Amino acid sequence: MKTKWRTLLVIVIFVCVFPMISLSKEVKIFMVQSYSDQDLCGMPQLKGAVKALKDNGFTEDNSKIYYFFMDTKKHYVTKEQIAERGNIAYKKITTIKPDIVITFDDNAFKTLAPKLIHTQYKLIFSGMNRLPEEYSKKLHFMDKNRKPIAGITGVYEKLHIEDNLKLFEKIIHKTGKVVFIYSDDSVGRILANQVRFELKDTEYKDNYEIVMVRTLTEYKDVLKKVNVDKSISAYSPHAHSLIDEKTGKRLSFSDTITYTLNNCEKPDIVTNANFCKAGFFGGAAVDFYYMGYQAGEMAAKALRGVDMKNIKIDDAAKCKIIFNAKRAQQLKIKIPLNILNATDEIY
Amino acid sequence: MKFIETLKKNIIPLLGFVFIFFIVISAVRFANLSKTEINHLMKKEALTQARAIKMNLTQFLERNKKITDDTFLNIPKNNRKIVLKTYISKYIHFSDRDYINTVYFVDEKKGVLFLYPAFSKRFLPLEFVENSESLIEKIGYTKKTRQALYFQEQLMGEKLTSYNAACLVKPLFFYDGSYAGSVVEIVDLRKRLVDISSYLEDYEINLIDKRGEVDKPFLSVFVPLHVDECCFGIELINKTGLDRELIQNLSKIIFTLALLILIAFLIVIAVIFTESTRRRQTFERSQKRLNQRIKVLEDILTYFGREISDDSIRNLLFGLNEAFGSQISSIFLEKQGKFYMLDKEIKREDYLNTEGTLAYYVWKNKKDIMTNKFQEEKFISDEIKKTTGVHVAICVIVALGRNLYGTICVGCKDKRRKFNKEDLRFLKLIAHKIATNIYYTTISNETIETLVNSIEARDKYTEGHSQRVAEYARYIAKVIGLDNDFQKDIFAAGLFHDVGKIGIPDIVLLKPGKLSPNEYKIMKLHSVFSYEILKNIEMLKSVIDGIKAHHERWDGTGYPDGLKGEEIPIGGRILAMSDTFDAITTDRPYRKAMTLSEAEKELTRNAGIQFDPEIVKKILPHLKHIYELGKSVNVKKRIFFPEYVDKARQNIFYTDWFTGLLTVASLQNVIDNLINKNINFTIYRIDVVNFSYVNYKMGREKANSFLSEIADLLRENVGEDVARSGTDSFAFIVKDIEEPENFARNILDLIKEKVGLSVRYAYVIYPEDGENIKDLMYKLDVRYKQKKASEAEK
Repeated sequence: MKTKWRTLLVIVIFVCVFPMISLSKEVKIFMVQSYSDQDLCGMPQLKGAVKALKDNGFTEDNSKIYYFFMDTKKHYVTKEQIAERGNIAYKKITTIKPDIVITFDDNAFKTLAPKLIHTQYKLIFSGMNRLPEEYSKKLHFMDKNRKPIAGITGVYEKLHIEDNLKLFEKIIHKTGKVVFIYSDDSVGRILANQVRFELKDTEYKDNYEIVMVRTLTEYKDVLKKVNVDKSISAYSPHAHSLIDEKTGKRLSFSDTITYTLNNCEKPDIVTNANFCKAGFFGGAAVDFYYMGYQAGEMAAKALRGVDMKNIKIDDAAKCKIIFNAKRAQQLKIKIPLNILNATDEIY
Repeated sequence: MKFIETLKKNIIPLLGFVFIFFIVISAVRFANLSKTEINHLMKKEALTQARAIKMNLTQFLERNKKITDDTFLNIPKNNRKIVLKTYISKYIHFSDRDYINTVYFVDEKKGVLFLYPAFSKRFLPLEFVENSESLIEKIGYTKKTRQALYFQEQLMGEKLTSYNAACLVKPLFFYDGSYAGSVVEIVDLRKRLVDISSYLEDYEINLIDKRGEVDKPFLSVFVPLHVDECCFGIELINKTGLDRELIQNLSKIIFTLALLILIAFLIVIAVIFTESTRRRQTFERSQKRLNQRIKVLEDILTYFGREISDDSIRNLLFGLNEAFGSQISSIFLEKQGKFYMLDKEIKREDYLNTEGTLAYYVWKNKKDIMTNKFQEEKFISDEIKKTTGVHVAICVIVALGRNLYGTICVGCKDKRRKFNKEDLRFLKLIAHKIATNIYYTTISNETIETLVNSIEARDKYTEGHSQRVAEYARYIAKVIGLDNDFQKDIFAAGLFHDVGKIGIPDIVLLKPGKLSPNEYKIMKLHSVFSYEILKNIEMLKSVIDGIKAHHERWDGTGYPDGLKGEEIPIGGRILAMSDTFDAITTDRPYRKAMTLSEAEKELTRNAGIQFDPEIVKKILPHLKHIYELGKSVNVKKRIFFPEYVDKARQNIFYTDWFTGLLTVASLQNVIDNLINKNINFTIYRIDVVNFSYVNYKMGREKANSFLSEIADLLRENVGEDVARSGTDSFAFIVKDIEEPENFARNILDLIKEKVGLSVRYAYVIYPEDGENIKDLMYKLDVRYKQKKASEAEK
């Protein structure tokens, strides 16, 4: 009898303790941010992802989040440097052996995805500007319906360009050509392709122009043209990285904001709330925070055991209406009351 | 009554008419009623739902206003932004934030300061807000009333389209009572509406400012929602299949439905009629085929018990083609080794020439086959495929248990005809019946053969007699116009008419000379015996009395019953004539066979005496044919017993069965023979002295053994011409002997020595003592008696 009771007790203890052991296991999450910890695009995503994980029960008590900032916007900008930063991130991943890896923006995904595909590591991406279809040509991580097939899923950063142009038309009550200015680098080219992709089947397909600039001079020339050309109703400044021929230095977007605002007299459409905050007029901007939140929810699902095949690759779902009051005054643009009622932020 | 009959005949159309009339009337009535009823019922339900929604929204807006009033209290003149920030945090905490789209503070001088969702640092001057006048107007109104009020306002939503929202304007005052500005809350009522009415899947729910004049769906309800200055309408539109067009066209739909039901009813009637016609035709076809099949079976059963003839095969094959709707039919019977095929005409082939046919394959493999792809079968030769042109065929084994007799096949040249399991089963049934027939026919023939064998085994002089009588009888029956069945039966009767001779003892049956009256009496019983033996055989039922009466005579002097004239069964009259005709036209030991003309005279002479004169009259013209028929019969040689057994049976009249010596009669034949040949010989007679005493003293068995020993000694020392002349006496012949006395004494001594008995003797010498057997035998008897007397005196 004693033996029976002892066996029963062991079973009961095992049944009770085993799930506790399982639950008590710390979940490791590795977040790789393509840019720095100050980046206006990357950080809101990262915060959104952290919030989503927290909302889904992955708190400091049961999980640990590891961060790695590749800083490929200002410091590590060449192909080799970016690749090297990716290698470092990969080494950290193989050392820590996280349960899931979340990448923010393209550089992190581009360098890590080839290494993590078909491994034990699940990979969630966020804020990816380059089309997933383009990446999948080489990596084959999804089918034609964007269903993951290789343990990789995430959120594509849809810019909502069409919505932006429509909103702008409702504000200024006129149509005209819009000029998109991008720096002639990998990020710029990705963004330009995104614009082309989003507008290709819309009413604006023949009513926009993309200009790629490499130097500050080229950028200034474009701004002059925007000012002069009456057919251009607005422009969208997104030159992230420019070379100043005089100093030879590489200028970030922040470095050119003042010049742009002082010298351009046409309304500026931005797809990033932080650009609006920095002084540009505004528009329907990508909600980076919510995009990160979307990616965080996907990660939570994967951590809860949902098969990656069943977590479909998604577009960034939300955009927010933002305006800069000062710039509105500067450009003498009136905001219709119904739009004001729907506005998310005024800077 | 006539009316009721007519009603009965037309009951289905009448019922149909009543049914259609009822449908049309119901449709008209339903169409008139349902339009208003459905409208009323659905609207009632929609209104209930709309009112519930209205109540929910009203309560929500009032609660929100209360929270706003409780939160946004008077504010100090300094630190206005900080206070507002505190207030908005508090407000968002208590309010239902999901439906609060935007909150901003409006200062008529400074402009708009955003509080929610993001708190902006900078005022947007009112001049940069398009249509700000309407906002100022609302603010001005609330400033006067000093209380929060709801207004109606436009809000930009998804896909950048505007829709109605509730706009709560709450005037704020400094502590001194002066006006500080107004808080404007944009409440997304539509979102709230969507969330609270998500369970109403059958309705499309809109929040509208007023009921428009546009063409609204028929099944929609509108409930006004008034809160302060805000005036909305809640519109519920039924999304289910019964939309306005449906309701409006209900009459048409109902009539269309009625029409459809009518058409459906007519179609059903047509289908029923067509189906019943089809079934009737199918039934008729089935019945026709069934009748044909029954006929085939009847034909087979008609031939039951008879040997299968060419005629019966021909009829069978024609019957098969009719029953199966086939063009080709065939039967192969192994016993005959022949293959009969009916393809327009009957063909007969040797089995070996049929290689490549379906029948050949089926027989070889002993397996039934049904094929609807005859032309594709590999085991059929190309030549057969081409010559027959058959497309579907069935071929089955003719078998009964383990007895396999052949095959039977049917083939159809029509591609559309397909054989089925039923056809296969029926052909199997036919094959089984044929096999049964063959089986019992074979048994029947074997039985006949056995009986005929047994008759002829008893009396070899009747060899072939039964066969000839059978043939004559059949032919006579045919000549006098009796039917086929009777001809066949009388043939069998001819074969069996003398079977009763089995019961006649050999002593009578085989007697070479004339029978004594008693023997003749026994002999006459054979026709009765035949009757008794055969009376239970079904196939002889019609001729069994004829068998019994085959020795009856027309004048009534025949046997066994002394029947006269037409009292004698026709079978008996025919058999009597056949039997006599064969007897007079074949050789017998005691006379030669009559010629045809002699036989004709004999028959004519006995017409009306022994034979039926009418029959004699009818057969005389055919007598030559009958005579030749008898000659053409191949007498079957039936060797049952070895020659010596036959001879032994004949010796019943010439041998003493106890000693194996000759009888006195046989010895007389020998003596006759010697006399005829003029050979000298001596006849001795010896007998045992005082044998009765030996019998008494030694016993019958011992005494008999002494006789047997004496017989053996005589056979050894005298030869074959020794006979037993009495119980204890013997006679023998010795040819060309010079000293007969010495020969006798030697024999006496030998018997005395070997057996131990004394014998006495007497003898006569030919030709000295007599020139014929009569004299010789007389003298021998006299001398013997003299010797016996002298011995007695001594």
